[in-house]
Amino acid sequence: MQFFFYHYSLFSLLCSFIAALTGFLLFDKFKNTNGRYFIYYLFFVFIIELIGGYTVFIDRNREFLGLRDCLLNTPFLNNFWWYNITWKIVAVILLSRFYQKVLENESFKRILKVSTILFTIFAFFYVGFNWDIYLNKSLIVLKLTGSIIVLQCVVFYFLELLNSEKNIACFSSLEFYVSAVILIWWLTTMPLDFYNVYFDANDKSYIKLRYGILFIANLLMYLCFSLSLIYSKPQNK
Amino acid sequence: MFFTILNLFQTSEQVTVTESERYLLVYMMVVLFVLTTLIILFFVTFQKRKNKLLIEKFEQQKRFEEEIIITQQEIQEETLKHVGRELHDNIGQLLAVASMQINLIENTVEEKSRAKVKDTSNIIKDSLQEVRALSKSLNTDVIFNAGLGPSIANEVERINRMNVLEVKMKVEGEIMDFENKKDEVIVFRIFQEFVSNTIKYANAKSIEIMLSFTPDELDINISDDGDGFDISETKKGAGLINMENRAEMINATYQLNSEVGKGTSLNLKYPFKPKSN
Repeated sequence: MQFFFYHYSLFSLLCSFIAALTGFLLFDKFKNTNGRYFIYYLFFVFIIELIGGYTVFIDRNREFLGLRDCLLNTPFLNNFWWYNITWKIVAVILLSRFYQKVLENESFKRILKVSTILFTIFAFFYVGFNWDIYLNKSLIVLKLTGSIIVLQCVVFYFLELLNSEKNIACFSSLEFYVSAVILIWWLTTMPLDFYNVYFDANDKSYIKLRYGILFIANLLMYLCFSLSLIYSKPQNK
Repeated sequence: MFFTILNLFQTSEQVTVTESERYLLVYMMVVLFVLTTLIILFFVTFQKRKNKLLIEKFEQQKRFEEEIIITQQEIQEETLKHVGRELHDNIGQLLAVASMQINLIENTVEEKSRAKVKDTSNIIKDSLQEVRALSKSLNTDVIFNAGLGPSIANEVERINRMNVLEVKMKVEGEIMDFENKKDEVIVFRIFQEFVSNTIKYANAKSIEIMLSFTPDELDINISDDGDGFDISETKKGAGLINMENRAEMINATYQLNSEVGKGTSLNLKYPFKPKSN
């Protein structure tokens, strides 16, 4: 267990790597479909995780002690600033772009587009007004508003499927599985964010719990993404 | 102001989470997980039912359309048969009588008119032959009895006599009768439609017909050297659609190729044994 928690960020990186690798290998299959935007998203997530791991890397390697000392009294010693901007803002916008391509209903598309723009503006101002928190803590408000956008995407997609007369092949489409997995993941991991206070306060037993849960959730999510990439059939619009 | 309210979420006190709170967290997540999975499962079952209904509706629609095509075909065949019989029984009979009478006259007229009367008599005989051939190609029963090969040969001869264009016909393999005689009529009608289109629109000099019989299928290739047309741009007329529908009805693969300036060709593959799909 000790080993797992020590290398947690590596394991977590491995999860997203599996999904990104599957996406890379199967890119040809989805080259002409909307699936390619989802694969770009997987690449992006992998890069977030890769760069985000820099804090742990610097911490554990003696050669970088000098660099660590440089960062010592700056916010960059932690990676909150990085995850706040990439995971909480850009990833949400990318996901919303993906669904804007997938959805066919014009009014759903428009609502999604407008709310994404509003979210972007809000995020911009929120970060601007709370620069200190942005640098040092995880921004739960952005996470919540971002979740609204993501859930909107998924709900719109399911509504469209329910209303459509022609989507006979939806059980072999990538979008369907991705939506199901995203819905489960976002709703299930949401409570974790309300416990962030304890995470910030370095509560050991909570941190272990959180890592354990997040790891299982991430592993399942990325494995499901990989499997759905393998299993689904590309659908041309 | 707004942002300060939002920041209530982000307290900075040093706190730890109690054991019960941890259990609560895990419990909450499990419940959420189960609930969302249930939602998805519900959605999947609903969607499956809907798909089933959609497929049924689609199949019903297809059956209905097939029924309409078959009825249309039957009406058409009936009409053609009627016209053919009328041609044979009425006009043919009249021409036969005319031919007989002119033969009688031929011997009684003066020497100088005799050549003209002879010509007229020949024309009447030719007309009679034409009418009989035409009635044969129209009457389903004749095609039914004679079989596909002889019927096509008969039609080829008839067109060649018209001197509009030259039709060449080639047969490979052993001529086989269809198990389903009705299909022979349908293949023959497709052939007829193609040839009549060529005569009407293509300005062709010749048509080549190739029938290859193999134990499994009949492969028919018909091509003309006419003007051709752009398939993607030309609106399909009743003739083309009819050919396609007919081919679909007998499970034959139908492929029409045409290019401006390069003529038109039709490839029709009729399987003798019904494909099991």
